[in-house]
Amino acid sequence: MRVKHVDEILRIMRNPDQVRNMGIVAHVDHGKTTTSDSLLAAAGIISQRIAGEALALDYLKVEQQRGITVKSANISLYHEYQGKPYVINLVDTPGHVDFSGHVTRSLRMMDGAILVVDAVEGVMPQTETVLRQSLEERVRPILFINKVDRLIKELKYTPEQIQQRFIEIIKEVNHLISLYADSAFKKTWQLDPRTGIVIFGSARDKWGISIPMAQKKGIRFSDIIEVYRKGKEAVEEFATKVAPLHEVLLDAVVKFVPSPKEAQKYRIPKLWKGDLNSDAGKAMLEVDPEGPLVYAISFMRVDPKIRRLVATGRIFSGTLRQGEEIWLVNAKKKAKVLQVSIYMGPDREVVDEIPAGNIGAALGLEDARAGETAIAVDYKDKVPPFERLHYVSEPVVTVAVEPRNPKELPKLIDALYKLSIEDPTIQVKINQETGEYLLSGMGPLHIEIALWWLKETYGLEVKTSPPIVVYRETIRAASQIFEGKSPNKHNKFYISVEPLDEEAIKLIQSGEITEDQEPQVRARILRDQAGWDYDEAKRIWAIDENINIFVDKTSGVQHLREVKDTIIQAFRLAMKEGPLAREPVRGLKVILHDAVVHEDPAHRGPAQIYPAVRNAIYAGMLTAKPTLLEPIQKLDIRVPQEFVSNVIAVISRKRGRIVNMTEYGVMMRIIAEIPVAESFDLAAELRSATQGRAFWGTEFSRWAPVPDNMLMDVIKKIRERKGLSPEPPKPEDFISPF
Amino acid sequence: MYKTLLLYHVGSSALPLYIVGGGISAEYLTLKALKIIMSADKVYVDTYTSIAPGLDDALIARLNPSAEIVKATRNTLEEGSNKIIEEAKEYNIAVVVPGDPHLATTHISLVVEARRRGVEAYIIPGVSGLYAVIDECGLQVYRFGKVVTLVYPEKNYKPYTTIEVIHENHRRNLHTMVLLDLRLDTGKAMTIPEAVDILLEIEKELTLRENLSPILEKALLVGVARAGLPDSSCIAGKPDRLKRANYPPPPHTIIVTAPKLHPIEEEALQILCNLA
Repeated sequence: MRVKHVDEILRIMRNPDQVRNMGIVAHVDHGKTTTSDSLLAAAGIISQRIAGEALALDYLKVEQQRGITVKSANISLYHEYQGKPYVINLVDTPGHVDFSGHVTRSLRMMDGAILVVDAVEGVMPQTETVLRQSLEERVRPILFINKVDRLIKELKYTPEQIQQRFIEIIKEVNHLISLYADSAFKKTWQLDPRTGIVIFGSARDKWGISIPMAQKKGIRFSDIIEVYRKGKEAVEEFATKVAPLHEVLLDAVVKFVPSPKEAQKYRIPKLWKGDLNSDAGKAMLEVDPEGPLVYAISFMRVDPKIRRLVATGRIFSGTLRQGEEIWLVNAKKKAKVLQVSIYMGPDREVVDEIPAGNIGAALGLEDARAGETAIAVDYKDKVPPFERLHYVSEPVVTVAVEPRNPKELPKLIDALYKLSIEDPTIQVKINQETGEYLLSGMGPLHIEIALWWLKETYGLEVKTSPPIVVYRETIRAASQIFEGKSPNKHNKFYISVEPLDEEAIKLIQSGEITEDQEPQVRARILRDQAGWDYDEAKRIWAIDENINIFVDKTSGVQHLREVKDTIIQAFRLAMKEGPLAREPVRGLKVILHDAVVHEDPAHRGPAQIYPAVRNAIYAGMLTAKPTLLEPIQKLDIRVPQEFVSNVIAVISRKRGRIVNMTEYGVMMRIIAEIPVAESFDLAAELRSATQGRAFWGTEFSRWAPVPDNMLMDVIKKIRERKGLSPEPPKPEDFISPF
Repeated sequence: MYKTLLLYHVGSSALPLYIVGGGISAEYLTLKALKIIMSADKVYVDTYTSIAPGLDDALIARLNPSAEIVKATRNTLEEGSNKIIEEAKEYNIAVVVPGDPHLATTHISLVVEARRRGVEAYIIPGVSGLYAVIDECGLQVYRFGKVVTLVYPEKNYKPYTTIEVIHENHRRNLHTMVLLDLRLDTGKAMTIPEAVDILLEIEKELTLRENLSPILEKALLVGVARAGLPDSSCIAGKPDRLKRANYPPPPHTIIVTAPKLHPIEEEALQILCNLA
C-alpha cells in the first residue's frame, strides 16, 4: 500500500494534465461496487485511516445491507502511469434506478466513466440508461466486462464462445454509443478493444486484462480457463502477480479519460450556456486556477459526524479557498467558505485550497442546494448560472410519517428538511388538514431508504402510513375562455387551458427549456423543436415543477406588471392541487388572454388574485375532459421458461402489459409495464407464481391515463382519503353565478 | 318585525339595501345613518376595512335592540354578497361600514350587483377619514394627486406601484396621500415608522432597477395618526424625523408633499404639524 501525503496529492492536483475525474456506472448487481472496491484496495489511497476498510465507498450501512449503492461518495486515488504520477478523482454513483437524479449529478463532475457490464447478463436496460446519461453529459465511456469467471465456471464456455460473447457485448455498447453520443463523438468514442479501452475480468476475483496487455504478457483465454481449473490459489496468484484489475483499469483511465484541460474544452460549451469569450468562459475552457472561481455543486449532504451540510462539486475554474467569500448564483446570496477538503472515502481531509479541474468539498454553504453554482463574488452579475442541474421531480409514492415519540416532532421536521436538501427528488409536505408530514419519493424503495436515513442519522423512529400512489391531474381537450373574478369583483382574469404538447413536455423534462432561461433562447428552442409560435413562446411567464406552462397573451392591460408575480404564484398553487382530487396537475398550458386589475395595491393583493386566477383555471380544466394520470412502472423480469405463463397471468391480473419477451439462455426475459397502484404486493405474487425463481428490477416508466371505467372510483377514493366530499366539483362552482 | 316605514324612507316601495357610511368613529354617525340603522331588520357591521372606535355591534344593539346583528368579515361581504342581496328582497338590510363606503371595493360592487338584480340599494355617505387627514394638516385639497395604499411587501410581491404613484404626483407638483395597510383580520396595522422604512427600502430597489433618482429621502412628509379622533397627532418633516416621533395607535397615514408648497400650506404645517 502506497500511502501518499496530502501535500503531494495537492501538488499533483495543481497540474490538470495529471488529474482525471471519473466514475463507475452500471446496471444494478453488475459489480460496480466490487469494481470500485478493488480500485481502492490496491491503488494508492491517500489516507491510511480508511485502508483495509471494506467497501469504502459504500459507507452507508443500508448499502452494505442491500449490497447496492444508494448515494454517491467520492474518493481521490493516486496512480502512476508510465512513470508519471496522477490523481484520479473517483466519483461514486448510485446503482439503483430509483435515484437517477443522483446519477446525473455525479456525471456532471466526471469526464470519463467505466461502464461495468456483467458478461453473463450483458447489456441491460439500466446499462443503456446510464450509458445514455453519460453520453448526454459528454462523459467518455470505458468498458469493463465483469464476471468473466461466471462464463468459465458456470457456463463452461470455450475460448471461442467467450470471445464471441465479448464481441456481442462490445457491439451492443458501440451501437448505443453511436445512437446516443453527440455527433462529434459518435465515431471517436467507439470502443476498439485493440487499444485497451475494453477490459475483461472479474472484480470479485480482482483480475482484469485488456487485449494489448494480454498480447504483451502473452496471455490467452485458454490460459485463464486453465487458471480457474487449477483452483482458488492460482486465481489469486493470477490476480496479484499477472493481471491485477486496478492496474489495467487505472491505466485505461489515465489513457482514455481526458484530462480536465482537454475535457472542459468540449464539455463547457455543452454544460454551461454563458458567453465562452467572457472571463469566466475563457477560464473554464482553460481550467485556469488563477481565473474567476466557478464551483459547480453537485451534492449537498449532511455529514453524519458533524451534522452539518457539506457541498461537493467540481471546480471548473479558479481556486476554491478556505475563508473566501463566494456568490451563490441561484440562491442569490453571499456565503463564506469555512472549510475546504478533499475526499478520502468516508473521510474528508481538510486542505487550504483546491485548484481548477478537481473535485472538492466545502463547508459553510448552507444556503446552496444540489445544482447550485458558486462563483467569485467580484463576478456576481457577470457569470450566468452554470447550466442548471435540472430535475423534474415527479414523485409517485407518498407515505405519512410521524415520530414514535411525539416529543420528537421538531427533530423530525428538522431532519425532513435536511433530507429534502440532500435529495431534491424527495419531497416533504404538510397536509394542512391533518397536520401529517408527507414524504414523497420516486418509488417504494426510495421511501424505504429515506426512512432508514432518518433512523440512522438522527436516531428517529417513525411510524408510517401504508404507501399511497400519487396521481396527476390533466386534461385532454382545450377549454373556452373563462372569467375568474376576485372576491371583491374588481380584478378579473380571462383564462383558457389546453393540453401541453408532448414535445414541450419532453423539453421541460430534459431541462432543455427552463423557467430562468433567456426568453428568446427558450422561444427559439420551442419554435424549432416543438413547433410553437415564436411570439407565443416568448411570452411564457412561468414553467412549474410539475410541467405546466403559463403564457401571457394579453396586450396593454394596466397594472398587469405589478400583479405578475402574484398571478404566477396563483398559477403555481393551482398546479399543486387540481380540481378533481387535489392531486398535482401535469401537462397543462394555461393562457391568460385579458385582465382587469384594480388601481390600488390594497385591492389587488394575493387574497384577491389567487382565487380569481385559480377559479378560472379550475373551471377551464373541468370542461376540458379532465382525467387522472397514474404512474406506470416498467418491470424487467428474468424467469425460467416453465414459469413464463404464470408470470404473464400475474401481470395481466394487475392491469399490466407485456412489452417484450426475449430468450436468454434457459431463462426468459420479460419486459412489462404495470401501474404502480397495482405493484405493492407484486413481489409476493411473483414469488409464489414462480416458486421464487423469478428476479426482476423496476423503474418508473411513464404517466398514463387511468382507464375511464375506473376514473370516478379512483377520484372518489382519493377525495375520501383527503376528507373531501366524494364528488369532484363542477365548473359552475368556480365561475361566479353573476 | 317589519319597521320599514317607521321613519322616513329614501327609496321606492321595495325594501332597500343600505350601505351606510358610519364615519370616523361613533361620534361621527350622521342623523341619516342613525335613522337607517334604527329602522333595519338586520344590520351587518363591517369590522375589517378600517378602524372606527365605538362603531361596533354593541352600539348597533343599543340603537336598534330588535335587529339581527352580524359582525361582517371580508368573507361575509365578498363571498357572501349573494346572500345579502337575497335577504334584501324580503328585509330591510343595512351594512354599516367605517368612514365613507366608497373607499372599500366591496361596498360599491355590492350596490351595483343588487341594482342589477332589481334590488333597491343606496350608499349613504359618511364622514371620511381621508378628509380628516387633510383637515389635520391643512394642505390644500386641490393639490392632491392620486391616492395610493402602501401594503406590506410579501415574498412574491413588492408594492413598487406605490412608489411610482408618489413619483408621478411629485413630478406634477402634487401631494400624495399614502394610506397604510390595515389587516384587521390578522391584527396587523402599519405604523408611520414602519411605512417610512418600507417606502425608503422599495424606493431604493426600484430606482436602482429602473435607473431613476430617489426623492423620498429629501421629501417633506406628513405623518398623521388617528385623524379626526380626540388623540390625533400630526408631524411634518423629513423621513428621519417621522421615524423617530411617537404616535398614538393606528390608523396612520402619510402624505408625501409636493416639491413646492403654497405659503399658506407651509404655515399650516408649521402651526398644525410642528414643522421646524
